[in-house]
Amino acid sequence: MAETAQQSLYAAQEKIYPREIDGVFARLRIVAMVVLLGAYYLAAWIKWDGRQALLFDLPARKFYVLGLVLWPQDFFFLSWLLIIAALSLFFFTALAGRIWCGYACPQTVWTEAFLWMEYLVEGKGAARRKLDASPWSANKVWRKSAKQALWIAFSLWTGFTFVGYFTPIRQLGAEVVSLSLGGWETFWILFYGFATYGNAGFMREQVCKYMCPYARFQSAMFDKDTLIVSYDQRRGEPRGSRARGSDPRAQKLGDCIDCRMCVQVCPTGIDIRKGLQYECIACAACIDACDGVMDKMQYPRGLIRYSTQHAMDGHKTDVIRPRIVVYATLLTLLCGGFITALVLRKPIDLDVIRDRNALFRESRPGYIENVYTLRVINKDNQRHVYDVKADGLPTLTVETDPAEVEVGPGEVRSIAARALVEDGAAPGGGHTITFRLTAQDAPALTVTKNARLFTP
Amino acid sequence: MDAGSDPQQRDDGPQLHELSRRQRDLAVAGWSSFLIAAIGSMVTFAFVDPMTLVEITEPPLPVERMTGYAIGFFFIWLLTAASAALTLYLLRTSHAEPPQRD
Repeated sequence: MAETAQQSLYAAQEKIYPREIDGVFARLRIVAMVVLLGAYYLAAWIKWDGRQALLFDLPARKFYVLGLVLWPQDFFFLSWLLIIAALSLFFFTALAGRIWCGYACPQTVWTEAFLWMEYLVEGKGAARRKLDASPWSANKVWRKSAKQALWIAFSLWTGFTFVGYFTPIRQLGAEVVSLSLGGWETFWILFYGFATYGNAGFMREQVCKYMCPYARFQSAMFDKDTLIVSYDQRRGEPRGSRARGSDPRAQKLGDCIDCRMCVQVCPTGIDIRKGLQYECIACAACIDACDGVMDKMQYPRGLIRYSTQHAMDGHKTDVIRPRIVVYATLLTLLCGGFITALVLRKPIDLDVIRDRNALFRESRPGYIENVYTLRVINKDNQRHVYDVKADGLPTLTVETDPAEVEVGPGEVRSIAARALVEDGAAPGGGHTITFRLTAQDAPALTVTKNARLFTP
Repeated sequence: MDAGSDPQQRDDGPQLHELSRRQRDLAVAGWSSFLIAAIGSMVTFAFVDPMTLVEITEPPLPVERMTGYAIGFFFIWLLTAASAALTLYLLRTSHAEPPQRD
């Protein structure tokens, strides 16, 4: 029993030949595709201050984002950004359903690009179906190899661009032209190119149906006020074919003429009239198809439309509801905090680690000494020499070895520091003192850190 | 599936899709482990410089930082893929179905 259930879950599927469709949402999808792919392929070439504007320099372990240089110590910004991205996905899913899937997901966008190339070479869905069914001929060989050549070239270009975000892309381009590409660069270009080809050319909607985790849990963000692509059951049923111009009411028919256009255009091959299904990526191709048919039949548009469960049931749709308010508030706080942290970010950091071997010792007569290790992190793009000072107790002085702390760009340096107070200057016990690190050439570059100092 | 038993769909000439059940299992295991390995190696190498690992490796490996990243990524992917494949294998070969709760 269980075995048959699993069998049917994994039953061999028909290859899907989505029919091309024109309409408002199809054009919106093309705009999204051009903008997103354009950004991906062009951004790597933009320069900023004489270097690549967006470069994740893994060999040197630093990230350039426009005017900003981020070091591994700034990893928290990246994780913060990822949290914002995840929360945005929740927010937009609750509000507008799977618009991510339909318009912005790389899987959708690249599949769209691959479908377009297929359409260029092999023609429309029906022609492709015929070509696939026909025996091998010169025409078929030519069309199939032209398509593969286009796909492979596009995949390699995608892989090249991807690696171009990690190795300066102009240098990479010169290496490709002079055939002097490094081993790992070649490997990653082929790897990413292969992944693009596999996902967008071969797997396509199977990725959404069988491999995408978001497709499985997105329904958790849905409620009855979420925008979904839906078929108006009350208006459409009972469906059935009819002569054009005849009165459907007299034949006891709804507005759906059962032409199956909505099924034929669906890239995942589902029938939206059966209700919301997890395979639906909300691409709205069925809306465009149905609107075209409704126009021809001279029925009002929108038999299939973006709507909400509440609207379909004849209730009011609440856009502002607790879930949306909570997501929006969190998102605003996180974004505000992120920008503030980025603006206030100082390219300097200091850690103070107390020597655990001794609380204190009498170093020279009349003085009490505490020993620390200072970790100086220079996150700036240039070398700095820093002075170390300490305050918080009378007669407190600090000596470091060496006296001046020189740290190169993006480097971390640990130095020994001794804090000295005159015996009797402070009552016995623990005291809080403050270390202050200041760049000699830029007094604004300063950071303070508290530490404990013990006296007898 | 009921789409396949639909007469209108059949007229268009059904074609079997390329992916079999085993291929799909492999795709799922490979993909989910890839996603986790990508995140895992990103987090790992944000905090650990592969060169410090190279220094403490025995016997010493004459590798560069980029090789270190690649080895790290594929090692993590190997682990996550093995775990994903084992999970799928155990689920697929189990005879006892958990009781249906309703």
